[in-house]
Amino acid sequence: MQTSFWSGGLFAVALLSLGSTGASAIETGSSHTGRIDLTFRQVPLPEGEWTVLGYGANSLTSGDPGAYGIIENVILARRDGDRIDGLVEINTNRLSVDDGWGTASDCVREDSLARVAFYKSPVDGFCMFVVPTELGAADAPGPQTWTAVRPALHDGTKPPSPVWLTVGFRASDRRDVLDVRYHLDPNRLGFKPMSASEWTVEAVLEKPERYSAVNQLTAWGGLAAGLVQDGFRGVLAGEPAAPLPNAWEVPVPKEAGDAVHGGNAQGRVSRSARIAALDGLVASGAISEADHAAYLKAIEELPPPATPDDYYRLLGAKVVSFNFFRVSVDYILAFVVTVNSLISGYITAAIVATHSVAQVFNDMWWDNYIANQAKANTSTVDFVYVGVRMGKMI
Amino acid sequence: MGAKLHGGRALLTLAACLLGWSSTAAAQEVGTVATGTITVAGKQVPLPPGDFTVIASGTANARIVNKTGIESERLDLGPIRTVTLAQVADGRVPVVVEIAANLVPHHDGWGTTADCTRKDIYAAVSNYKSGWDVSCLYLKPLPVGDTAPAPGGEALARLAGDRGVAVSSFWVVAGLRVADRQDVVDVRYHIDPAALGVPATAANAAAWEPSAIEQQPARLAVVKDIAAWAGTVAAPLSAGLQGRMEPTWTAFPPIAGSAALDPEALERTARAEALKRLRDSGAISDDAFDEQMAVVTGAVAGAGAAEATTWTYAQVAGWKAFTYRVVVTTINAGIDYVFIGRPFAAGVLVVLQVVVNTTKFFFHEMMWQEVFGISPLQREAPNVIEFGRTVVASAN
Repeated sequence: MQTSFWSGGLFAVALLSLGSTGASAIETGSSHTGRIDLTFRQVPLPEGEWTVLGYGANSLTSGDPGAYGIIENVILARRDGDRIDGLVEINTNRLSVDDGWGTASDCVREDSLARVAFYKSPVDGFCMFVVPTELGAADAPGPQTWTAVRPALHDGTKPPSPVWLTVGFRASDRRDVLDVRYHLDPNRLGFKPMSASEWTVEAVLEKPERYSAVNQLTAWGGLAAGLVQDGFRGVLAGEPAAPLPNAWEVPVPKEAGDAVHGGNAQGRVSRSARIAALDGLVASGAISEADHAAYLKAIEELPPPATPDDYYRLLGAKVVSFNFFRVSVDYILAFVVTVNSLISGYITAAIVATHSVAQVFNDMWWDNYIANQAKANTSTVDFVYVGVRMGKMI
Repeated sequence: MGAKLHGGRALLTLAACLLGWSSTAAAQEVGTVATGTITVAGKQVPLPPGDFTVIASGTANARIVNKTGIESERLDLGPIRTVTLAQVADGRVPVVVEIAANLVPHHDGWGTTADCTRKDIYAAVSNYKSGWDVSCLYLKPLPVGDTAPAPGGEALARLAGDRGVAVSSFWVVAGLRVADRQDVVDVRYHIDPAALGVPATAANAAAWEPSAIEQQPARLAVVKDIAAWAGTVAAPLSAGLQGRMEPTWTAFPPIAGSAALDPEALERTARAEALKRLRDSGAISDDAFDEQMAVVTGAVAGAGAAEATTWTYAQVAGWKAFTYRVVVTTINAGIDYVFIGRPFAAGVLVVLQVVVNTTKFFFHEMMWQEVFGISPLQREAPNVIEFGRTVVASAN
């Protein structure tokens, strides 16, 4: 009994030291290439040398996830000559919570230039968005760490662009959250400094070159998404830090819909990751070539995730299925009352026509209602972010 | 052209990063000795105190179990790493640990194990459960016999033969299944009751039946110790699923005497101490500390992300039938009157249609939902997924 008491006590001591270890070794001024390692998480970085200009604690502006300790806030910058051309803003929790984190308001705003919900449930979510951010002003707001970064932005011989383009990601699960925002100087995409009103959705739609730039950023975000998610899960640790390409190096997709591989179907991005993982297994000898072929075939044959078209097809099939019962039962009921086959036929035909329409709309209303409830159950948790994100939030 | 080249390089870079998975796939070699924790396919798994030797390592396939208990192989989930460890002490094998973990990430959740849904075992407890993640724990007796092979199988028999140690024919199994959208780990701790001072054999398994255990204090104490110990490692295993187990979680309590531990109190204390350290280091203010401590101690519930409102088939079918009926009854009244021309006869037909068709609609909805689910965005329960084991509904 004494043994178990002491052992239990030792275990308690081990537990009590939670949070004292595993802290990330991030120092202001340190340089990172390809990736920055945080506590249990990694964040991929675009090509070039990134310097930590701000590191500290951030606070929540909305949401109440529980006892999360602190929100670690890191701001990195990359220089191109004498001016900063890119900023990476990271927010992540130090202590795990129990009931999930929720999404970022930027993931649900209606006026973002692009947004993709890779998946979303009440307990987890992963989304990406492209928004313009006003951060070039000398008094641009931000978290506490921003005060150390802001002067560096104005060090160059030219003033920074007033509005930057932000590709952001929010990954969360039941325990943890990672919010990463890549702020890119539009100058690197070939744009002269522009005002906020020139990067609204309406303004972008009117200008093909801006529209292409947004598609390019979205395509870049689609490339980065897998690594951001892997970094959130901590599986990049110990791996060679291969940098992300620069956003302007990514081919411009012809159509907005092609911008994100898998944006329209969450399985697509994942499928490439799974096939790559499978290739890794056979390369390491963990599975045989024959096994690899069998698993690969199964993955490739897996039907793509359902689309809205599949939903409407299902609704149609349901109406047809119900009409088998409808025709027979309604005809019998009408005949029982009227004892007239012609009138019963007319009544049944009228019922089939009107009720089929009513059934489709009834189903769509309920499906939409249940779906909206699921969305409403996903709370919004936000931190203090760099700059002013333009437009109105929903 | 330049853009194309850059794009190609981007994809190659990405592919190179994704290949990083291969390192986590490295198998634990047979003969490896682990203490405190072991990492399997990138997932950290707690172990009882003492040295454990890896006696088997391999891969298995995942199988999904449908509502009627029929299993089908799911090769698209990729290979599952399986590792079996055994401890040797005092000429016996007191603990055998079987671990299964995915090698390839999935995108749509894994699921629970059939044992976590059973009601005919000592206990099955769900820590949390949604359509996409799960953490559950169960305890059951395992008398080794024709339908229930010994844990570790031939590998354990080989170990026993090589080292000349005794292996029990009766085990108490504490199983934990933790899964999120991408990953899963399934751990089964097989404990020989003799290691806790109460010898048992398959021959006297009846005395360990869940229905009989309550009346036997000594055996009940063994089961309670094992249950409490498994409860203690549930939270670290959840963190370990994502490789986020704190480095300080290197030692876990012995199973014997664990019933005296309160896993929830331990976790609360750990969280409170972590918060205190953050406050003492100046990372959080006194106000933030007080606010979060109130959540830890239970004085204030953290809002977190609300659980989804769960709809049952019958609820959805019932509400749909009601709203549909309101609309179509109005339509029917018009149609019936137009074609029949007599208010009373039309009224009788409307009443008949309401009664008969509402019933018809309700059962058609139920049938449809059973086949296709409630709605495109709702998943009412996680799948049931098994790894490399054959599940027999009434067996162990």
